[in-house]
Amino acid sequence: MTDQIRTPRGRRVVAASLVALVLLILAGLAGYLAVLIATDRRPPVGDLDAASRQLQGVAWNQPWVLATGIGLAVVGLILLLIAILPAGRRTVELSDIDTNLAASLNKRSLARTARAAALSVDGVTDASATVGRSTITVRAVTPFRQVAGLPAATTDAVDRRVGALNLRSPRTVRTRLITKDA
Amino acid sequence: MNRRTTRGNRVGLLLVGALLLLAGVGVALLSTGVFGADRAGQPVYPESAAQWVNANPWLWWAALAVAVVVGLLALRWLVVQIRIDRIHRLSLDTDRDPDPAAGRTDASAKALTRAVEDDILGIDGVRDARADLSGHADAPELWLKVTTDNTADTAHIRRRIVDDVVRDARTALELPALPAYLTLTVSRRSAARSVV
Repeated sequence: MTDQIRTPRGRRVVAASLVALVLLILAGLAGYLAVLIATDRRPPVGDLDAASRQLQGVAWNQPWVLATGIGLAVVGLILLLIAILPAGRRTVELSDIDTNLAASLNKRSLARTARAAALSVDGVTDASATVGRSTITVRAVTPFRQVAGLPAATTDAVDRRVGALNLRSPRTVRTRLITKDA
Repeated sequence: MNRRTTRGNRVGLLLVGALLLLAGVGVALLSTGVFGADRAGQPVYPESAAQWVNANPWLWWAALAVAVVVGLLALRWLVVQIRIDRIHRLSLDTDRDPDPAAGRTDASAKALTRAVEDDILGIDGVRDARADLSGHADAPELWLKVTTDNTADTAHIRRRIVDDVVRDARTALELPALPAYLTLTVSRRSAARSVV
């Protein structure tokens, strides 16, 4: 049996772009300084000889050297974790009988679908929805004080609409009803 | 949409992360005197090192070469983040007909993706559609990004896309197992009301 193809996870674009940009800036700066020193010219700002002399006066056991080392190690560890741990999914996967098709819906869209379903219920004047790992929480607003059955009707409507999407990891719908005068 | 970029990002982050972690731990160990109190009291950039650097001016040209290489690699790494390995021409009938005289047919990928987009836009409740073919010309993948109205029946739209549009694309490409990736987005706006 062929495995179901799945929507790829994130590509770690933000982290990779940031690191690449920092490397590019540092390489540009290092190259520029190398050319200046090799051709016996002075940079427009700063004094390289003074910086060299200052560095000769800095010992390894000074607190800011230790702080720099810890800082580098922490940044390195974060980058390693980003590289090793599986990238997050920004979308909710949908199941399909076609093993060569991977369908997904972004979380905000799932929340909008749930909101639209809640708004279709008689007596609900406004609604919002948040999508969690295993739940969809709907906050429905109604002007009525006698609301028996309305939370269940809202939950049913959202459940039906979301259920039709066939989520790969089904979510439980929870409804909170808020009474607000129209 | 690009698996090479995903792998490249992972390897790049792993390399830079490992280098920074090693350097950071090394500096911290030296600084805390793990390699001896004498060593910890020595300057970070000793006089002897400064003299050696001054006596070897070629070092700066070597540093320049390293900076250029690192800079170019970083620039390429940045550029690939926005690259999409879109296919422009498709090879039809290759490797499927054992007779070499049967020839091959090239088709424009744009023509197919435009037809797919038009088919999807024809479905009620679809606001926007984008189709791309990526991967290799002889093993393409179909990527679909579809935006629907917020009141539209997303499940129905999805069924129509899968049952009709993707099936037609597979038939056109003669690839019944063409992998397809569909991303649905529900628009903030609902369908515009027409006034009769």
